[in-house]
Amino acid sequence: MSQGSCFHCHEPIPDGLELTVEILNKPRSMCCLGCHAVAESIVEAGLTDYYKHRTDVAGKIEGDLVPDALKLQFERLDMAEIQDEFCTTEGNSKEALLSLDGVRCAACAWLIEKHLSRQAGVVRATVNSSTHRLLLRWDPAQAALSKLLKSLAELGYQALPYDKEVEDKSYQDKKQSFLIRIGVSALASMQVMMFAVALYFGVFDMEPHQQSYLRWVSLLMATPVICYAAWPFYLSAITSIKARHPNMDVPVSIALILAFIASSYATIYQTGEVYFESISMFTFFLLLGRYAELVARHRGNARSANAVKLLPAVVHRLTEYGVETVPVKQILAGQRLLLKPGETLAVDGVIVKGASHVDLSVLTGEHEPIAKTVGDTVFAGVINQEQPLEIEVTEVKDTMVASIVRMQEQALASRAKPVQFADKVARYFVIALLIVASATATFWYFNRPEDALWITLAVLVATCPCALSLATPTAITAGISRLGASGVIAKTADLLDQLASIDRIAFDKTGTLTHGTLSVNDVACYSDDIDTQQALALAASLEAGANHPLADAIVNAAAANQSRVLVANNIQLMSGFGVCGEVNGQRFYLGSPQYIEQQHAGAAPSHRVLLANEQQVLAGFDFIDPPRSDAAQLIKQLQQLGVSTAVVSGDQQTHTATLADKLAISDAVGNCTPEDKLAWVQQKQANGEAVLMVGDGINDGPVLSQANASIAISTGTDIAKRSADAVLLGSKLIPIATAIRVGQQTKRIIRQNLAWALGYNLVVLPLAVSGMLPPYIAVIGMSASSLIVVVNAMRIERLKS
Amino acid sequence: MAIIYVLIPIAILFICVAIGVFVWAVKSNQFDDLERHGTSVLFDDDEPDDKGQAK
Repeated sequence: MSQGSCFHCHEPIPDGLELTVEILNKPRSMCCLGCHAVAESIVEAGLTDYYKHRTDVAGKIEGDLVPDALKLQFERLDMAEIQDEFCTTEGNSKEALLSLDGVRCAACAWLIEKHLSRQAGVVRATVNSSTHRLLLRWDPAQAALSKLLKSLAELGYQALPYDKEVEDKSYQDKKQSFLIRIGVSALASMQVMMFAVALYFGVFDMEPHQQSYLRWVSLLMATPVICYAAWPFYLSAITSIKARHPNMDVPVSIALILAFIASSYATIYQTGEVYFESISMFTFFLLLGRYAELVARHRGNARSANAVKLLPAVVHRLTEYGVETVPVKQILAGQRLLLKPGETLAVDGVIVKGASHVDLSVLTGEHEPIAKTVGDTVFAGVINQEQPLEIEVTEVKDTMVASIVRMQEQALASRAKPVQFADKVARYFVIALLIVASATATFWYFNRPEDALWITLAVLVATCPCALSLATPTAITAGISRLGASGVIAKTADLLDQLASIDRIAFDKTGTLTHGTLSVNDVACYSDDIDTQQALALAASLEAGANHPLADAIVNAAAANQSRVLVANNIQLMSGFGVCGEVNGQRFYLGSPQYIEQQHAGAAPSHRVLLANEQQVLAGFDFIDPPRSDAAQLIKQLQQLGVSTAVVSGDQQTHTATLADKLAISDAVGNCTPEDKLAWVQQKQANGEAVLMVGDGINDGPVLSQANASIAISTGTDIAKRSADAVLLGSKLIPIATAIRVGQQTKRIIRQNLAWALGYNLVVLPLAVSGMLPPYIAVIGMSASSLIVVVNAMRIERLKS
Repeated sequence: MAIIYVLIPIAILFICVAIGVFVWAVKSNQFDDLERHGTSVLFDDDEPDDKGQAK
């Protein structure tokens, strides 16, 4: 633990902050109140073992541990009709599957289980640390669900109901069937290998009846492998032939089935060679590779599916008798709803009464509130920031968010996947191999009919595209797992291939290159009576009760400057413009230049927010969204990798250009609508560049799909994460550079593997065709070439970041 | 070497039992979370309350 980093989350500690908690008999420094509170509750609960055994640091806790909005959301989950949607009731207790936010390693799972099982009313709590799900069984008579969730939030973990129907079931079934197949093929292969050792090495002093016996038991053990464990390959082969795109499973299946039939023939008629051990091991290795791929892919999906934040399930409906709270399901278009401050809208609608700032970040990724008033359309997912709004419902089911999600899914499904090089090679190879094998069979049938079958099989076995079919999947699996280790969760196997050929990376600005939260950058004083500290103090006093990013930034800056915040009276809020109030009996105005100009006729200095008294403008505030700490380092590394960079943002051109200058990014495009972003990427692609897009907002959705490869930030919107090829976990950007290097390395290794496998096959083919290759050499050659390919692929995992 | 006529069937029997046990383990979800249970042995059930802190 370095001196300057938080014991809880390892983030740097701000200067001058002294917060310590005694953990494991030593005072430990904390970086913020959030971490401090969490660490204290862990210590108080006697759960410090967590710190001893964790293998990853905890997430930084920013702001309130349990924000009011979250509290509201939790409380709604106590309503019986809502609980019916995600709970199963058994006797006195209820059971729910919850998704967890903030789980980093197995120690977190222990911490959560331990903490929950101590709460009154909890019957059982089980955490799955790889899928980040919590299965909670509790007694509603003793504890409300909201109370349990709140106590969990106090430890820094957010749990919300998870719809288990989504895709878990089919994945679980698939995974289990794979595991059983792997187990069967592994155990059977071990046996068959032992018999094979006896057969190869004891063959000379073994009596024929013993040899025949060993062959029969090998046949017995290999049968379940070929008839059961290898089944998925046959299915995939048949599907691919039906689709007229024979994949590698075709030669795999042909080789397996033919070798098995030929070996069985050899066993029954006691002539020729048997290859039971080779085909069993072959099946086992192939299954392992497929399983690893399945798990890696699912892990990426599960983590992003967890981040699906529930839209509220209840709304306040306005009727002639007053306000009633009803489930969203009962809402019809045309009805009126009341949206209180802090609430999330669950449907699309038009504002019919009231004016307020709303947070559109779920749609745009930009957290800055936008002023909305009567007649404006608001979409599901917006969060009301200030004043109550009356909304007439226009759409309940097919909301903007829902339709964007659907469009994304269609775009993803229709996106032409680049046909992989290996697949193409294997396809031609398969066809060539089949032709050569039948030619060999024909030739030897007319010359030495008694040997024809065996020579043909030698051709099929020796040149079995085993190494060829392992070459790409093993490298890709190793690459994906290497990516996962560095915090990039790949959702498609194509990602690595595309990362390797990237010419340009385009970043979204807010929330991607930056944290997406504003802070005060500059305070300009326009009066001699006031200094920075006082200006901040006054502004913070006026904004103390407000709840939007600019106000938060001012309040934070005042706290950082140790300005004494005073009490403001008679506060009047002009939504979207500014605020005025009395401090120490004097009237002050704080707001946009337009707002100040209304108070004082005449031009106001150009700042984002101005502070004025009744006579004159006192101070101006400018804000900045600071870039992530490692953004500059990332850009430097990318330049070393020969990748050009660009920032494409919906923010103003000047802001975008300033940030690009600061980080040494070559191109900056501001004022972009989602369509502009899309057009920009299309234009670059038309120029022959392969573009990697990194983004976080819903407005990045289309461009993430369009780009050759895309990475979404894990704190970004769900839409972005769905449309991207990969999700970047954590708050560091550097893994993006690592990911590109892993992609390049993977591509290199795939080429080496293919070259080796093809080379081996081409050398061995003439030998086998001419009947010069003894069968055991064919088997050894096949196994050795596969082994080399697998070991080569594992080098990717050792790549340093 | 006549013994192999006895030993190998026994070995095959063991394999069948092993496969049976493995299938049971998979079906009862024991392979769902491999990280978690590997570390659970590290954690004490109860932290000795040496500091006299309130639980």
